[in-house]
Amino acid sequence: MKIKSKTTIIAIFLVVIVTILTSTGQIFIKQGLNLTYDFYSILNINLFSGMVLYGIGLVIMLLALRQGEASVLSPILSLSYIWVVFLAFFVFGEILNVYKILGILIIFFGVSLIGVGGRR
Amino acid sequence: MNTPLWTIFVVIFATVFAAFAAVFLKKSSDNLAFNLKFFFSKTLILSLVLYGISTIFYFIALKFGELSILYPMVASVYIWICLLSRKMLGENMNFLKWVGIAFIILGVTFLGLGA
Repeated sequence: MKIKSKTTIIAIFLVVIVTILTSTGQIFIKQGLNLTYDFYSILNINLFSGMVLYGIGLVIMLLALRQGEASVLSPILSLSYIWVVFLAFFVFGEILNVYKILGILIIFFGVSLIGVGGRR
Repeated sequence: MNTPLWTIFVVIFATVFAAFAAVFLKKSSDNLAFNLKFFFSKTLILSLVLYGISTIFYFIALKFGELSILYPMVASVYIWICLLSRKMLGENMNFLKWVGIAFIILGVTFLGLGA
């Protein structure tokens, strides 16, 4: 009997780590682009850090995909929408309004459903 | 600013590229090894190139269009990923997964409205 490859909890956990890494990296890159005012300033530490974080995230994502389905793990990446909202609030002072809070809760609920649905 | 129609098309275009990128990434992970051979493998390079192209398209579209309209379209990438992974990777979909994706798109829509 063929054993269906299902998504492990470890894979889901790794993808959550990836979302944290890429969200932080995204903020670094955004900050790095904000600080770019001429050709030479594009090589700043923020941009570099952001790309490093993305690179590490890529490797961990690959590790996760080995033990999980793309149709389950990829939607979990949408958690980064949530982290970016919070990070943007703390780093750039972008306001949290009821739409964002609601959106965060709904996304979280959706990701939970996929997590459960992917293990059935 | 309102949202020009072309930005919507560009975003949909980008999401298709990104979906293929995700599926190819999954495919490449089967051969994961910490050596140059893997990091230069066709599937991985293809995935990264497609991701890069979709990122550039997102960047362009989001410069000229409103987040409230474009954000949910970006989130539709998960629909394409599910459909593609079913065809190309043999992954099965179920009711919970589809409902979960629907909620994610709904949630992202709210984020777009809140931006």
